[in-house]
Amino acid sequence: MEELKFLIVDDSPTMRKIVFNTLKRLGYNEIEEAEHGAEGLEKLRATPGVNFIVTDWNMPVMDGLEFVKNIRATQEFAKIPILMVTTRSVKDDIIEAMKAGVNNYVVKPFTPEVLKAKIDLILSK
Amino acid sequence: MKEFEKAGIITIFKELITDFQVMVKDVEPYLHGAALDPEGVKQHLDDLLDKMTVLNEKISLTHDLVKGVISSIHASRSELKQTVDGLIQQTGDQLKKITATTEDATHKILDVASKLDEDQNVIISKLKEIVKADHSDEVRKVIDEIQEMVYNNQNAAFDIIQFLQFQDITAQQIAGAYSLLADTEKTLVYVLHLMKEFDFGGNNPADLLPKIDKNAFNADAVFGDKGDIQHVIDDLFLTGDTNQKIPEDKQRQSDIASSSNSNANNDDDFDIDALFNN
Repeated sequence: MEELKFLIVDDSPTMRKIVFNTLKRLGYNEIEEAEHGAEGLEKLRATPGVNFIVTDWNMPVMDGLEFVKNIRATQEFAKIPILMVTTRSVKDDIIEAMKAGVNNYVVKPFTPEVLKAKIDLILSK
Repeated sequence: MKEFEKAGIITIFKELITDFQVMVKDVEPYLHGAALDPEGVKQHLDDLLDKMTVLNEKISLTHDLVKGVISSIHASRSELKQTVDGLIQQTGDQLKKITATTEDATHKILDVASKLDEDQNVIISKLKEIVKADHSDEVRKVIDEIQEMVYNNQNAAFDIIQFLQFQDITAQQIAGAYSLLADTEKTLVYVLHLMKEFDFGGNNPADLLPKIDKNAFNADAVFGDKGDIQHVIDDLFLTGDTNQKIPEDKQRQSDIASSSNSNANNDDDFDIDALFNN
């Protein structure tokens, strides 16, 4: 099975650290980080092999929704699974994220069990 | 107290304009040569006199109200200036300090918890080494117990890491509060500009205002169990059925959201750059 290489995109260093720790605990060791969507796109271009993205929504420069739309519009990255992890829990937001192309959605604060379940679910499809 | 005396200054102004329009309309036929009926003219003049009396009272009240508004503006101008000049900025700086300090402290706790987590792994591997070397059941039992305790400690360290998500959430709430303050400052600057009481130098006052990226935070973020919401989201992604009802994430927060959204909507109408550039 192909080794998973994650990209965490979140403007909060705290959240990046927490997601990083959680992924490590789940057994994933290849993890890249970016502070916002624009840096995420740069990281994707500069780091070959990223095959799973965990992104926040509210970020400066380029927010998570724009980031997802950009990825889905770029042939090279269009198929990379994206899990959105955000504090936004209003129905319209969730539907908007769904339409933009996220594969699944987790509301912060999350538990490691929920994060694991979502990653497994996305990978099983 | 007469009915119109309960109204505010803007309402009274509107009523005054309407009253004047009605009076002009009443007189207009005669100005255009309508036949004069002495009885009708008398009735008309009586009505007109009544209206003029009320109108006079309204004008007098309006005069008092305008005087009141002007004197309160003068009384508060130094406070307004002081607020825009520094207090809101200071409050914003203080809020940023709180976020930075909390973030720093959170990272230190995160580092300690991560180190604890890693150390437990070392202890577990050392315990496994001891088990290999010694096969006494009694010792093995004690080692198992220690190992169990170490796993519990490791889980506790990991729980601490997860709880630290509060920092991101409170940072977003603080950013939301700062954004509200910045909106207040924007309104105050606009009022000062309208009053033309203060010299903004060569600067466009809009340029002096803090730039807030409202996409960078969610002011309605709430730290709490999201299990019920997450279940519905799971179903939504599983079935694609967008008609499902998502539980409200705390009504109080939702109320705050609607009030801050209405502020955001006002922003659309309130193009301060355009105002200052005119």
